Amino acid sequence: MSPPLLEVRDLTVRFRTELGEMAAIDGLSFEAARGEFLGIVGESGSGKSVTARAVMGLIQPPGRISSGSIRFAGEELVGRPDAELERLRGKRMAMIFQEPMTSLNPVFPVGEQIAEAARRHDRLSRRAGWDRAVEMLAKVGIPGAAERATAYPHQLSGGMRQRVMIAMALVCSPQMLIADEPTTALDVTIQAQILDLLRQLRSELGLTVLLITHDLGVVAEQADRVIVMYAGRVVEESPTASLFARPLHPYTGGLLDSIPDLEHTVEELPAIEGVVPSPFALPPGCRFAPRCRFVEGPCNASEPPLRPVGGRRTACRLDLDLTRS
Amino acid sequence: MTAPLLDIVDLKKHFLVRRSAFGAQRGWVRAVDGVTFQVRPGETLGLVGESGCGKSTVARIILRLIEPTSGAIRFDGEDLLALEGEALRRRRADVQLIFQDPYGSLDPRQTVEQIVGEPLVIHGVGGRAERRDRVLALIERVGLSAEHLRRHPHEFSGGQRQRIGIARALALNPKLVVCDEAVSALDVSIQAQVVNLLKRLQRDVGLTYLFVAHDLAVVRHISNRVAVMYLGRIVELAPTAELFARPHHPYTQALLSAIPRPKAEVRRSRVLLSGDVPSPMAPPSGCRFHTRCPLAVDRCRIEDPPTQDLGEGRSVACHLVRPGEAPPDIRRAP
Repeated sequence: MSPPLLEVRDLTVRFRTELGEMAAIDGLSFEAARGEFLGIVGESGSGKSVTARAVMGLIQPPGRISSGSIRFAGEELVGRPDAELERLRGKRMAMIFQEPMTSLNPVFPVGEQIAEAARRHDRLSRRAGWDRAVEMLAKVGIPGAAERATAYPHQLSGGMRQRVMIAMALVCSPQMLIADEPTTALDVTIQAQILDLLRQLRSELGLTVLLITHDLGVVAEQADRVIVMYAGRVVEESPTASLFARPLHPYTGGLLDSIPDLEHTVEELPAIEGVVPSPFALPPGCRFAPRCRFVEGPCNASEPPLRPVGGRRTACRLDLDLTRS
Repeated sequence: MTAPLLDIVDLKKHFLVRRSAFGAQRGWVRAVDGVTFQVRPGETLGLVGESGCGKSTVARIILRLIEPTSGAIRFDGEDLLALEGEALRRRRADVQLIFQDPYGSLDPRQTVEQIVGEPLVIHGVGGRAERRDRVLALIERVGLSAEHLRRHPHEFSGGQRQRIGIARALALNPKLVVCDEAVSALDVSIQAQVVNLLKRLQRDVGLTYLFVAHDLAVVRHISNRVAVMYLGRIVELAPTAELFARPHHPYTQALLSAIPRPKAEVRRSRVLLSGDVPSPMAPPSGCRFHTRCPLAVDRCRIEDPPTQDLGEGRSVACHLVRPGEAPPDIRRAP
């Protein structure tokens, strides 16, 4: 088997805050194979976005990678100087965000911004850069690409702007695309278009995709494999189909239960009671234990390791049957 | 049948705007453009649609936060738009709002006790001791406790802040509560807690909700009936079970088809709508949905479809829907 494209080992990212230092992610390990579509799911405070930024080398003070390793195509990224990481970004890996408006420059036409990225990384001429930009805009499904390339970001709709961001991310043919909540700000019919585009580009270009989202529905239809995060840790990792058919971790099961169904009606939603623990006051044992309905004495004693179960991994000590109908 | 609590007829709101930040060109945004519906006492009516469809504008008009361009609103038998001064102030107690962002809507300098008690003070309800008791009862009703009364909004999580907002909305025993994306900003595990709370309160207190949201799964769970809006119009209104089981309007069908579902089942063949929602400044001729409708025929481009009453509580504004016939199906589009 070929080595994974991305290998994250025991990664811990700490942030200094007014209340002291806290770990946003704590001993995180996962990998992504070449061409794999990996979903990373979690609610606020799970550490999913910090994970994305760490992989991209975008952790800035007051944050720091305090330990662990990130290997990309066999090369260690932790500890590399910013200039080298800068070259890697764009050319080997690229990222898109929830709100494209914050990543686009409002005073330049979108085509110019894409061409600039192409020229910087691929040393293209002015003309060739522009042609490349137009070609990319067409590839991401923007009608009348040559004309739209001259438009300014504010002249485009939210969905079109996200397409522009994807074009800019992919202009230097990176091996991996990290998409952090790429459709969260979009309406559901536009979200469907963007997800469809990602799926299509992934198979067309053989991209490795890391899709970070709070929406389990989005990963169910997109990802090959899913990592579920809770309070800075991976609680479950599984191929997509088995995750949704039979979650191993009570948090995954609870999340799935708390989403109202479009076919079946229940009077009361089976909510997960309580709230995510503060990173400054983590429980001594399993971080989910205070909210878990299966909790037993030992759950509160020590933090359970991520253990393998039939090609999957779970951070629950218990062998629960959470099969979903 | 009981009289509706809220009766809205042909409501319109057109905003005058400049076309660009520098341009002098002006135009009208037809945010709400002829909306008619009723809310019955004790029910939850879901009002759904994508951004710019006008659903939040409808909510704001009902709260008399903005004035409509035309149309009529009767609340509890009274002409809501004719009310002024003291009469309006008294009526306001009957219609309360729960916002999307519990942080932006709570004064950070006030304690929970002051926030929840403020409507009582403004409306001169009871004496100091009586208000105290009432605030405590409200706080407990939404799942918080006496120890929380002295704290400030920033000391609470998003879900707890939304509970505070709900307690404040209930302070004056309103008849109608308008929930404007009330659970949209919450994480799913917390969202379920708040949705359950809203349902429980409705049962216990006999509240009526107008539930404005874009999340169709949540709307399905909480609503008795659902109205779907597109570009300032209601395109379909039906009892919840029927709307989701057999959506008639092609837009409703597309909306339901676009929702990504958290399930292991094989990926469904999804009907993708092409293009963006047109600008409400220049809504398309004929049926407003025709530019994105995979089933549109010539008539749809020319003639604005009237709202047809199909019986059993369902009404639809689509030329392709005919009473007694199977509804159009976007999956069979050419």
